[in-house]
Amino acid sequence: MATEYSGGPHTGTNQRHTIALVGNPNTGKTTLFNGLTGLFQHVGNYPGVTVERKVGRLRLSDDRTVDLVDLPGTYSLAAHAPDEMIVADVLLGRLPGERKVDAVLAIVDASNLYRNLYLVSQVLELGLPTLVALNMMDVADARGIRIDVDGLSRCLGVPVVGVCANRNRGLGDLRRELGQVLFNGRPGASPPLAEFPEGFAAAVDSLADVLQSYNGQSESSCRAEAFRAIVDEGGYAERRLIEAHGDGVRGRISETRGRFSTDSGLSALESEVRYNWIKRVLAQSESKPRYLQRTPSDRIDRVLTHRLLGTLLFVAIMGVVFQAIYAWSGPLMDSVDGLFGWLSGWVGAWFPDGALKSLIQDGVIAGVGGVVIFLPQIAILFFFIALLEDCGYMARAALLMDRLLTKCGLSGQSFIPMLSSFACAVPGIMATRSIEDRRNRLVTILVAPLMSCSARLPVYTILIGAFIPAKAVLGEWVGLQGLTLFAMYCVGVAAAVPVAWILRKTLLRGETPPFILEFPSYKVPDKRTVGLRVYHSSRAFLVRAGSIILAATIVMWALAYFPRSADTVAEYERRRQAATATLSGARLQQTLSDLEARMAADLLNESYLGRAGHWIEPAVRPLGWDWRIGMATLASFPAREVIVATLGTIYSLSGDADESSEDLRSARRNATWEDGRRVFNVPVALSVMVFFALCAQCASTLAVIRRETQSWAWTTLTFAYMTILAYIGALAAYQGTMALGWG
Amino acid sequence: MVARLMQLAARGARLRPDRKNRSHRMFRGSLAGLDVGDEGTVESVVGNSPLASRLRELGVCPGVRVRMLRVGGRLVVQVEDARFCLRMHDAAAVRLSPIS
Repeated sequence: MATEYSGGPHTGTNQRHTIALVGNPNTGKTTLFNGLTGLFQHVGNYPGVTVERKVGRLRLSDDRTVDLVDLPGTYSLAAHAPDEMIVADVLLGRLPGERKVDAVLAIVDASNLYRNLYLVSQVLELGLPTLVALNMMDVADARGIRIDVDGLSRCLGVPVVGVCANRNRGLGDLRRELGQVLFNGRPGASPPLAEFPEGFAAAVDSLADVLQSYNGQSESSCRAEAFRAIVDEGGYAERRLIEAHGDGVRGRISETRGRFSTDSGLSALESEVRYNWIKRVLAQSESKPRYLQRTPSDRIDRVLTHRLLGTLLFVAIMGVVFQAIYAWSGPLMDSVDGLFGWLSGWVGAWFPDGALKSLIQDGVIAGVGGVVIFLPQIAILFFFIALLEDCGYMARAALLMDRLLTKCGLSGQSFIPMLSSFACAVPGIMATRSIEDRRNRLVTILVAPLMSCSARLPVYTILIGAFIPAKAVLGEWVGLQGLTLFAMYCVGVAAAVPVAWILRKTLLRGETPPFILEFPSYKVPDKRTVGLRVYHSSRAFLVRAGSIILAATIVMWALAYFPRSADTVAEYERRRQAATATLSGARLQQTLSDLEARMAADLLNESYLGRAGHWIEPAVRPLGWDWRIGMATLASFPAREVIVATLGTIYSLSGDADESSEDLRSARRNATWEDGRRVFNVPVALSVMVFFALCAQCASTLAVIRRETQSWAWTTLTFAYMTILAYIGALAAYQGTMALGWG
Repeated sequence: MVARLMQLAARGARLRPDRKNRSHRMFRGSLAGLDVGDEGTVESVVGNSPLASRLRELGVCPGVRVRMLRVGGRLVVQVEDARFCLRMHDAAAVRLSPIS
């Protein structure tokens, strides 16, 4: 069978070979991927869908390089959720624009072979050259599980290599064996298929023949597809085939089902046959204690999943994270800030006055620099999310949150996408692909952007830093500033609860979706996995700052700088000369700098931005904003960090910034209304923060929602409801706190 | 307000032992009926729902040993060497063999 692999795949071509890395969730797949590819990896999306596509370059022991594709973790090829469909599609070579994989590297958890071999048994049936990496041998060893690697290899019919991905052990062997498998490999044995009832395999084969006559793919890949179409009732493979090949296929599928199905469906038959096979394989290759083992993780879980204690600890952990974001990042941010201040001064000294100097100083440095300052905070946030995810705590938190999420018609499955959205809604929305239930998934997508993402952090930080006193409350451990930040994060969550509840009662009505989640054993987080996560997200942040934010900043600068009427400039020049002629000493200096500031303010008022700003001012006045905040907010609809950049630019141009200060952050504090009152006070700061907490100001998020939902209607709905919510929220925050006398 | 709270508390106190008994009666013979630390052997997973097939894929198959690690609205169950969290009413679909 499968003779097309006998000569090695596509020998003689220069194209790099592709190996797919598959495995159950929580088997150390990502750690192994990082260990094998190091920094040579590229994160993108699959064509047409937003499942993350991670490809790395893997060097084999003979120095040849191949592409290693990290597929989403899955328990079975019977695709329930969109990300599992991707795994099936890639392995079957059904994804348009994606090359067929040449070999499979299946990673299994040695301490839980029983469950892990289920997916392996399905992968073996694909007829691809396969190598099994037996990970976590150390954990298995500690639990008294002894595995006969050669025996296992004989049973599976493919090579098996023992590794410890987190300690980089066995990777050399893996590289050598991969080369062997890729260039000389034979598909493994596929024994379970033979054990289905008499006639079942023949029925699958006859459907596979039909498929092969249509698409000309390999025999085993057609057989695997036919098998899935028959077994998974109403499943993905069935829908695909009927769409592609019409009613003839439908008839065959239902005829076969009628012959073999029972009350519990064919899936019961499949799992029974596969697990019986697995039990026999394990009887020959594994020995372990006969009793169910208790692990330290179970004891930890007694506390961490305790109804009261666990919830308190959850809140405490989240509190620590937010406090750390605020407290630890200070020195780092100061140094980035200092760097940009120095840069600005250097430009000021070297460039002649004029539009170019203004563009660099007020546009690029004040704008982009104001955003880049937040790199330390974003890195810290991603560090904590990666840490909690890698150590295994996330699943426990999902259990605790399932109670709350069920109340608004969601399930604990929505927790991880939502938590990821605290870093960035884009990966958060992509993470919803693991949710099987369509309505559940849509609601999660619609409320995910309400979670305060890292792009909101700069807005919060700048306003909190300027207006919330750095007082300690509750002893010396919790600062008022950290607490305000935490409160801002709560605003988004508090809004998400009723929104999700209303959606589940109206547009997306349905039963509460089922919830089942694996609890991985706790482990010490892997340095490289966490480090790479922080590295990739920091890079993405900088790229964003260098592209979309830079572009928006330059546009805003131009709008705020031009038309720069010559009359106004001449008028102030005349006054300055008059002052120089009549005054002297300190009074002259004072008057000159006054004139400078007034000219800047007048020029800004006359600029295109100023005119538009005054026009919209009535709309933002109830929120306590001046036209500058209004315009900066409007400019922030493509990307919310732009407000920081724009406020930096506007206030830098308006001359409100204290000339002697190189601190970009202090400029806003000193902004005034025409009558000399300060623009910013506590209620205004709160109102701006609440607006940004609730508003859908992110083009990337909306684009991802469009792609994921395949609908403009859901995208528009998200944008509309969030914007309205933001306005109402900001209005309530300003008027409420003013009424309390905080102004 | 206070009276209402007292009333609710009283009802909660009354319900507590009651609810436990009832759940045990309702869920006897199923995974949902196990107490913390109890072990059992799976007889079958009832039904043809997506949840049932997911449970089967995860290894909840006839003859497999399970142990209850956490009870309540959300259970934590050990299945061989893996641990899963699921809701109590979903766990009722897992029938256990009578203890021999």
